Amino acid sequence: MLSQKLALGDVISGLILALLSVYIISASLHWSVLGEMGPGPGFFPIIYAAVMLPAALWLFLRGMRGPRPVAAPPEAAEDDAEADGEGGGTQAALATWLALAVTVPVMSLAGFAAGCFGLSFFVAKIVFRRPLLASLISSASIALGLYVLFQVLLDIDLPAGLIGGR
Amino acid sequence: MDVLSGLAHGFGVALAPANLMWCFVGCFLGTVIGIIPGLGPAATIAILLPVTYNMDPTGGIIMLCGIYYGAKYGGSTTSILLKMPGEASSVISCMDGYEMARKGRAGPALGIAAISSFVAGTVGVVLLSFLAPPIADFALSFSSPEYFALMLMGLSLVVLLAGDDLVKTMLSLLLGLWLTSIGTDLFTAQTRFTFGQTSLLDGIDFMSLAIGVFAISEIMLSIEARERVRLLTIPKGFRNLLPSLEELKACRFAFFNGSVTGFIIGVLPGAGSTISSFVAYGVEKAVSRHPEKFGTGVPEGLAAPEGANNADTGGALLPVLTLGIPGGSSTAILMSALVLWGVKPGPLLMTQQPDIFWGLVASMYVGNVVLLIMNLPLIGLFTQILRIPLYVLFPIIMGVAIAGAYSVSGNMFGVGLLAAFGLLGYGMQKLGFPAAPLILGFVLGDAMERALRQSLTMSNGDPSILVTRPISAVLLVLAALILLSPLLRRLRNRRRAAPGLPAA
Repeated sequence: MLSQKLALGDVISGLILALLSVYIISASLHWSVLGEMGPGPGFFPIIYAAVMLPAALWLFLRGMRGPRPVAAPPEAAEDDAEADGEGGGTQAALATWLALAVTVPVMSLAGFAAGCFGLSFFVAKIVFRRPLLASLISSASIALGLYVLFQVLLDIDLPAGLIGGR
Repeated sequence: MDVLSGLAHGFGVALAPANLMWCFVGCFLGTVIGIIPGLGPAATIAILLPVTYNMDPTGGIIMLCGIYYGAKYGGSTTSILLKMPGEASSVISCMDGYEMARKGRAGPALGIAAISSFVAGTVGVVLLSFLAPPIADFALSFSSPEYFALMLMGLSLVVLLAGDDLVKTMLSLLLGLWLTSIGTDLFTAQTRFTFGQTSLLDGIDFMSLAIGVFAISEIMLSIEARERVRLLTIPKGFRNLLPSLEELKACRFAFFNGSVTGFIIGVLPGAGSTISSFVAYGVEKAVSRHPEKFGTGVPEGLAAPEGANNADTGGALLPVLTLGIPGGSSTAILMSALVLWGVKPGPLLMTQQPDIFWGLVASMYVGNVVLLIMNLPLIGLFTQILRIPLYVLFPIIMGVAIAGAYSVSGNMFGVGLLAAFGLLGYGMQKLGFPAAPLILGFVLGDAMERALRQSLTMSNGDPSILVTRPISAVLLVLAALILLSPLLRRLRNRRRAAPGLPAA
């Protein structure tokens, strides 16, 4: 199961990187590659994209051929079982990332402390399923602690929200 | 300045109260993050880099380096007590370290790890002190073609050694090269790959990339794994941490093996302390009179890898400080820190900035003593860190990461990039792409492009300049051999396997 997932990953990542290298080459051809003054801005990107394209296509084709036959170690069966059961963990990891991504506009609007409080609360209450009161106390303490540390003690600028908060 | 007077000068710098304090802070933080599984030194250095912005560069690099080698000391603790390595370089220490702890020898196991780390770490710094001046002198004769060839050879070694899959390692490196191309070309002021975003005109900020790829992705992976902690008890009292005379005798060769193997492998770009610890363990087992006992709790099976991953530090810093070429993610971030402070790592560093070079080297001697003290009598205190709940720890790390990314970029776009690179790092880990080559490609890409374009400008566009200069030609041939070696090995294996052909 794990190796099948990796093979699909190889197909997708190989395709994305192949498309990226085509984009790099086509964009670089619009700039000077070799001029009278020596190599131009398109020179170096063309070189690495020319290496990237066949490597990405190789990865794509290797993935299309399916999982590679690897001598299975004794733990392989256990690993596959773990991989099957890891869906909840992956969801939690992606939810945490989504909360971080949402924090960016929240901080732009309401400032660092509010965004940090929201992120901490989400991690404690939703990801780690802590009781409401414990989540509220830990989130407020973290937001306040980091604000005092950076803004007050270290004098490091923190995101200021449009509505005036930091 | 010769080595001894350089060291004398360096100790004068390192023992100044402020620098001594930064050395202690670095070692302390290093030990703490070494103990916390999932948070590595690269991520921690990247997160703390913005905090050091206004610091004196000497104090700043002393502290960041303390985190780098301190984490290796701390990494063994969880390997021994939890069978959960705090660092990738401590994976092999689980085998005999944890078995010793299970047999009731947790204290001596922690003691052996600390003593071996101290001995090998110090040997690594001694070798760094004496080898750096001749290498820097040699590198003074380098011009753009030699630098380009040297960087190409270094990156070839990274491709060969940094990952399990050659193609994925190379693609990771090339992605790093592309990311560093984004922004304004310094030669012609042409904007490249900015997608019309004015925020990208100055290029991608290194901090957002490093913190995202290492710290954010590590948090996501830890949340996914949800490992539970069950700590073995540490015996109370300093005496109970000391290994017996027999155990120390058994570790004699392991101390030497770990020191030498660790340093040599540390110098190689891409190899890193994980490989050095595995190789040292393999050597130890190969020369042992009782190899069958390895993995059952023999002290030399713990001493060799723990020594190697600490001697590796001196080796890894050698190419950074003398040539300006890092070999791993942590050293790449350390080099970026120097550049951010306006210090240029390379052959002129020790003559133009002796305070930084010799101060750092001397601080590592001091740091090893500090770490020995921290990791023996105070180890019980440090393990209390494992009791901090993850729902408190992770938001703190993310909050510090956001503050760091914002303080460097000055806008929320940098924080958005941090989140994007976090997802990229997580995806790379899940799909088997190593992250270190991406960072190395990003750090070296700009200098590599500049060296290549300067070389070709010097020769009016004639690429033969790269192969007609002897040093450059030798380095390029080595790079080609390194890149072709897996292919040659495969061909040889296929020929051996072919029926009717005698084995070579």
